[in-house]
Amino acid sequence: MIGLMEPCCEHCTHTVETPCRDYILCRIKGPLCHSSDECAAKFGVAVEETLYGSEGIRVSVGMSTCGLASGAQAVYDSLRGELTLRNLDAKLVKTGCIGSCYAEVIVEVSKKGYPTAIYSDVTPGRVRQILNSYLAGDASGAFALRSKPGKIQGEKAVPLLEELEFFKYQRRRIIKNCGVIDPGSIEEYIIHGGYQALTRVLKGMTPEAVISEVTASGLRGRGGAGFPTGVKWKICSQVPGGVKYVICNADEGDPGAFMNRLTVEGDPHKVLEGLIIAGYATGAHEGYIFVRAEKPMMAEHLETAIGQAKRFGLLGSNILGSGYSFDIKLMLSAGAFVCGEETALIAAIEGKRAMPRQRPPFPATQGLWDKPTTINNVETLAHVPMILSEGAKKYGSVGSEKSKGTKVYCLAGKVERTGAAEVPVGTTIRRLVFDIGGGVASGKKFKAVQIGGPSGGCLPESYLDLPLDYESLQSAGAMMGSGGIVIIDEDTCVVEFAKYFLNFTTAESCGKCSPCRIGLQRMLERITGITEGKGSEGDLADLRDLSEAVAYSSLCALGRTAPNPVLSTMKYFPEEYMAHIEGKTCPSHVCTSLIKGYNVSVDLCRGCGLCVKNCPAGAISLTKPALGGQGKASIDKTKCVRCGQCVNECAFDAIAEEW
Amino acid sequence: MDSPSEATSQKELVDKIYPHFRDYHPVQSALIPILQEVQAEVGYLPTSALTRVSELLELPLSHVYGVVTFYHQFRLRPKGRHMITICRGTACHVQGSLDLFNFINQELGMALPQDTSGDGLFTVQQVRCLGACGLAPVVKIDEMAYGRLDCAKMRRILRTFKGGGEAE
Amino acid sequence: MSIELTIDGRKVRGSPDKTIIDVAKENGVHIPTLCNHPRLRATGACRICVVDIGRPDRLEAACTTLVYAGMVVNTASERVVRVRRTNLELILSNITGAGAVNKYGVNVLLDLSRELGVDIDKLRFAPPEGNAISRPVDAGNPVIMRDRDKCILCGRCVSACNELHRYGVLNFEGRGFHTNIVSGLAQPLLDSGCASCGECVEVCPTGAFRTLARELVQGEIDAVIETGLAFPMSMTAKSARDKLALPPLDNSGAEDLVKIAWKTKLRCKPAAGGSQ
Repeated sequence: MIGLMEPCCEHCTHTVETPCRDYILCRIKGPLCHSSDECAAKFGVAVEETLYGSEGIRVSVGMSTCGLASGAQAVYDSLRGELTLRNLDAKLVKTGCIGSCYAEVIVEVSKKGYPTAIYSDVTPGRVRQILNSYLAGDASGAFALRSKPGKIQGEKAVPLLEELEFFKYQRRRIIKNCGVIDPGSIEEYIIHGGYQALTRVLKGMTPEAVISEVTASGLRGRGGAGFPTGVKWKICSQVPGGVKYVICNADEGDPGAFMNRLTVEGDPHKVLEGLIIAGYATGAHEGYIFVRAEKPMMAEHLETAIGQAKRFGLLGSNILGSGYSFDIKLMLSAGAFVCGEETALIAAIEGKRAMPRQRPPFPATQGLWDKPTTINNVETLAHVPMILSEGAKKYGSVGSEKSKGTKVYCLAGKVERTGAAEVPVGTTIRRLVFDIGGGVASGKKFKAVQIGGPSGGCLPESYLDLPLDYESLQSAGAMMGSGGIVIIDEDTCVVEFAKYFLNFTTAESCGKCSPCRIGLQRMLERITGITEGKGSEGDLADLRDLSEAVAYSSLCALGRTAPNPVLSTMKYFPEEYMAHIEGKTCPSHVCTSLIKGYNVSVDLCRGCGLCVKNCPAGAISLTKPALGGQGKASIDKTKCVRCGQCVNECAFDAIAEEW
Repeated sequence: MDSPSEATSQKELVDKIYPHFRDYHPVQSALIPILQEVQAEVGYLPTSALTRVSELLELPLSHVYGVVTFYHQFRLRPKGRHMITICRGTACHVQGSLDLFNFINQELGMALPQDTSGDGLFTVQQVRCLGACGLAPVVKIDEMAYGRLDCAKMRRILRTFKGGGEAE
Repeated sequence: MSIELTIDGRKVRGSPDKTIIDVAKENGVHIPTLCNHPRLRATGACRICVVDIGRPDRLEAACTTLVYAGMVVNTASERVVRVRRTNLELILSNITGAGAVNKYGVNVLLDLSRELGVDIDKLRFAPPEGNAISRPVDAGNPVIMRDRDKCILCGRCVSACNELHRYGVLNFEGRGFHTNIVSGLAQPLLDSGCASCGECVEVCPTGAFRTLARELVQGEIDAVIETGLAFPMSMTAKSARDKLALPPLDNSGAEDLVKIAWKTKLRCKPAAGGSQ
């Protein structure tokens, strides 16, 4: 027997053409069709070998996009070198991300019978020492351990992973496998329980029963709108006969959000499993996964996973002998945030400009090529396998009254611990930002938390105890959105921040309807004027009027929600707007047009002339002091263009901005 | 406009690629994937290629043009040897990606709307979010991503390319 | 079968496969529109015809929203009126000269401003100095002239060109604020296979597409094409086919004309001494 997916002996007759319903269960509990200790042992060995290789040692490196950007490739190469040097045939694996981006590069080492040790901030230089100590039975210096069976030195000093502040409050269900399994291995997915939900569904559940279970779980769309998933599936399934489609929206476009990327790069098969079940429930035989071009690793992992699923009969005709057929096509988005809108996404798949259209009719009744189509976000689909394998009740045991289950949130911006965390819906903002995220970085003062990306709002300190669920956020003027949370501090100017979002929405507006196309542009012009010291109170009134038209009459949610960043910052930080308008100053020292000038400190200036050389406006010169010696830099304010290059160049911090 | 020999080679390229998309039904849904493949081969979308695609898929030329100009990914002009992609997502923005973008343009002696440096070495583009928000600000050069950048680090990285070297 | 709904406090009946605009019209209620056109599929682009149907966070476009039993429509609430005015002001702020006359000699925008109470001399949302739109006029086609400074991007011309006779010459270019309407690969009309059927001129509300046909006299023309459509022009398909050595026209009519338009370039030379 070569691998986990192979037949154990001639009794096993499973092939893709003649599939066996118990194929998946057999891999980890086998054999099921006949009794044989020898075959059972074979499966046992296959599982061990898959996870630990032949020497019983597993080393994994977090190599998601974030891991790679932190230098994980060099660490991986270094590990491979070290293992070769020691003649160790260890299983060296590239995994996804466990979510603690602040601690990357993350390496896990595991020797059979010993607790798995997790190391953080790993560099190629540390690799030798890590292997030396762990393989000698000493885990001190590890970031965390996955268990503490009392078998390794240093266990007491190293915390368990779930004791760490970042992980303590999490309930990891969707991202459970991320950073643990090899995303390129269907075997590892199956060993960790994968495709059992699909087996249960295809073995003995009707589509109606599946929909009932999903409805009972209370699962709501995790893409932002929060529509009950079971209801969506039911509407589509009830449209009589004919061709239907399911689409997985993996076009994660919110800047500051990477939940989908993390899920797909860490555990792509989970998403496939959810999509196949969605197809079965709604009566579709063709599925699309729409991935964004800017996140190419997502596409690569999905392509590999789809290939594997096909190879082992989990996609294609007569899946697991159920008679149900399903195929998935991967489509790469060509770059448009508006594709997150269902009808725009459909237009993109149809080879058109991604311009939304009126709803109703909803895609569930009239979607892709005018056929009934169910569109679900990646994260929503990732919840489905658990609901079907462990049941709606277990699923709904966490979460809030109206929104059951968990949600993955991404913490980014001015926070100590950046990354992704999965918590029950209804967790407060304070818990997420301060307990899990560790509060504002570098001892700075918290200013606000931006939730919901360009469709969301900025909430100040007074909202920290707001629970993160759909209703509470909406009534506060923000939006759950996809779950991206960006923390800003005293050094962030909210006016400039709102301008940033308007820049985004104007660039991403499809241009179809007048309020969004022209209204957002006019809003951007006014807010830009405010940041440049050219604003007036009339601009604030204009912003409000324009916001009303855009919010109430835009054709799609991109336009309707685009004014939120402006409206929320105007509501909660009016004094910052007034400072720009009346005081012609930026309290956070960000809007460079409002810099009154740059001042050179004669005490600190060494006369090195770097600033003179790098000034694009030729506004700086060195003045010779009367008594000889080094000259001092002097800036001509009339020529200065406020680029800030001199401040950047000065190695002695001798130039300061005057606000 | 392409020269006649360029036009022929673009047409041949499209004809070579087209059969890979036979399993797209209806065939119009292959428009974006075909354009992506042509651009992956040539680096941009030449006019003759667009004309041939419109003929094969039986779509009006204006429709193809409308699609090409709608999506951020497509280019109608050739690009530089290396692609610098600056993430302009929220987290990166808050950590100074705009300054980084301006700095890079300045270093390469470029001014908008120009997006390719005079020596043809770099094309600079912005994207909305690469998804590595924990490491903001992030810049990619070709497939290599660099995180936690500042202007000094950026300058050093650019210099390794200008010196004829590849990614460090 | 008809259902009952309420429009501006009055109970009316309508068919559930009709839009709010249609049912309103049938019952004598006027809702202002701009991009809507009887011969074209409604797109809901201009957002002038928005009405309040009781949703707390949005208004809906009357031209694309189907009625349902029990719907309560308010066509002129304070918010509706405010939003309509803002949308019109935004449209006006983005073109030069509000006084553009369409093919029928009507200035639709001026009429609409009067109806909604917008003062075109005191627009609130003008762009800052130096940001005004100014795009060159495309006057290469002697019959149809494009004056893009008057374009409000209602999309009627694109719909007409693609839906009515399916010439497919016009489409949108780019996206967002910088969207344009172009022909072919952003080529002049003359080079993009335009068959000069004139439907764009027919449907354009602001005169961004205008005709100069009155000035075009029988002069030297390379090839001609018969349209028999809204636009009376002396062009015969037979001469075109003869000249281009194409097989004779069968009875498929418009379809065939489409293929000619794409694969060949019909050129119309202006009359000697005629204006462009």
